[in-house]
Amino acid sequence: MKLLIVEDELSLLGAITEYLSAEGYVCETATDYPSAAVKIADYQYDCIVVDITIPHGSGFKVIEDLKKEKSKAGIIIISAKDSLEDKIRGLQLGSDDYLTKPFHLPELNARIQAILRRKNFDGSNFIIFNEIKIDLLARHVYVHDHELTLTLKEYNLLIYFLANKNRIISKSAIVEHLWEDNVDQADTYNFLYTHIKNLRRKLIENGGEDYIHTVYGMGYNFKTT
Amino acid sequence: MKLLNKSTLYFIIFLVPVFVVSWFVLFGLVSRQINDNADESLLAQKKIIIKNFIDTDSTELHFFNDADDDVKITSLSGSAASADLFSNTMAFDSTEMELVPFRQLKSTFIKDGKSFEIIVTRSTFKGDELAESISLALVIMFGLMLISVIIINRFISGRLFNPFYQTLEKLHHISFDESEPSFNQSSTREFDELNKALQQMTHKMFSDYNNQKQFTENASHELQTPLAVIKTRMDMLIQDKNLSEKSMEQIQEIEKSVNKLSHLNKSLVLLSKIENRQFEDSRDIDLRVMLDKILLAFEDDVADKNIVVQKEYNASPSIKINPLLAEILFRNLIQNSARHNVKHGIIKIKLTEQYFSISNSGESMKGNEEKLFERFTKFNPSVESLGLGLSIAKQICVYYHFDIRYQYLDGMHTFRVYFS
Repeated sequence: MKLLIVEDELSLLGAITEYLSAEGYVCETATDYPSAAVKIADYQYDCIVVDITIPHGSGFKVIEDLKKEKSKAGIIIISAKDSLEDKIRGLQLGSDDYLTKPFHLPELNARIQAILRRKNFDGSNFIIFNEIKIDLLARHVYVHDHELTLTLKEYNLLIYFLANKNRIISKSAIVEHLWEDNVDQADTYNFLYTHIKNLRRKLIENGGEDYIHTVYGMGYNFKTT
Repeated sequence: MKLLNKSTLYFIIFLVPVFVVSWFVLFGLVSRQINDNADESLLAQKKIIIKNFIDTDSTELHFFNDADDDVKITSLSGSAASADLFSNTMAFDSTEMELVPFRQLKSTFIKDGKSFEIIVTRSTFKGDELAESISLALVIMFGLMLISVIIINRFISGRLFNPFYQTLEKLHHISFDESEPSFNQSSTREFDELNKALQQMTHKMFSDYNNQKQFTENASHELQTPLAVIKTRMDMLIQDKNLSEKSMEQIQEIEKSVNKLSHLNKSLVLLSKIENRQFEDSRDIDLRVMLDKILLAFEDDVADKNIVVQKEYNASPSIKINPLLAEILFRNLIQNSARHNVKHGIIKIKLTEQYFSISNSGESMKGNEEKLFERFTKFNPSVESLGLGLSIAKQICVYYHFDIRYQYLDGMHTFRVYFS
């Protein structure tokens, strides 16, 4: 899977590239519009992560160029502007998702995976990992073909973990993923603990392995090795 | 009251004393003129009668006196030569059956060494009739003037004031999401100057607004980017297998503060955006769907405190509102009611055509109610909060001219938003 990341803040670009490369993606980078335009014209990408405010042009122009090339690449906008107009404009131009800065890397990774899944499997959409099978369209989860009854938050949590396997994910990253803007920090950290405990219990009760590990003081790790 | 109506009113008020004074002046002038005329003709008549009397040989006075009611000649015993004497008298008029005013001339003359006195009289005008006529004339004039003033005013407001009303109309419709208005040139100097001044002012306003907007966006952008760097670098940092538990704890504390900072920045930018009226995209929203969606996000808080949620949706008010702002408004109010609730408490939500109200059980704020909507106000330090939620809710209400009210009654905090 090949990704292009267009971002002018070098430190952010570095962090994104490092995280996504470790996930097994081939990451190319561009720091302004001209270099992004050249890369788009010359190579095919599976997914493009693009910042709106870049030097010598705009992220919107990059998206327009992509659509002109009839590219099938997934597009995810990362922007510091939490503006509805920009979101709508991006979606109208054909982008698949919009992520407001600052974001957590596991979040970006999970969203890229979701886009790639949607692009590559039309019709049926499954995540299969060892004994766990998730039917994304029907929202059903099976462990060894036993169907689990999960709450919406547990379901989202499981998908998020599966997107970020073998990574230490901070509590705040998970909280942001599950509650989005409705963050009430002190309490939600406790709620998160309960949701994770329940998910873990349900997986184990149905014969699944105990993948979810607590990293003391920090967060959780969905360990597969 | 319209400017022209007002000026007309003042005009009429000032006109009344003018007409009263005119009445007296006219009355004086006309009656003097009438007396003068009467006097002249009395003198002429007297001259003719005296001439006739002297010319005739007869000294039969009754012959003259009987011939004319208005003339009376009497012989005087002594010799007298006095000047002409005019006076006003009243006499009974048999035809009109009332006392009528007369002007009389008394004079003396000598015929053949004998003195005679002659009195010539002539009926003159009646004062009340004259006053009536003058009043009538003045009232008619007053009426005509009023009519012409109204006609002239209509013409003025139609023609002369037209540029003014055009300018006013444009001012009414100034909106920052539309282009800058341009004010027409006017051939009236005052209006032209007004338009020029307004043009300058609106130009300044629009450029200030755009600068401010730019600044807000830049400030947000410039702050969010380094925050994004911190956050993503921290995601990388915690992957390090060599970190001690103590370091992990430190990192988590840093992360909490970064999240708070980022949330704070977003909230402040949001507040300034609302105050700068940068949310113009309003549309119809089904509030019931939105409220249910928001409530779902707080199901953990509700379950944790064993809160009973009572929903009562009587109607879906048809309000036009920016969807983002609507969500923030109701989310903040619902979050507030969940956050400041007690164990086994209640949240009551009511939605009608006119208002949305949300009540929650909780302790009284002990007289700090006025500060409720101020920024960075926290009543319970143990609850993690920025103290911006309610002031943002308030600003959104101000933005849409909703009336938000707070009340504490029987252990229940109630916020009510009236849609107007």
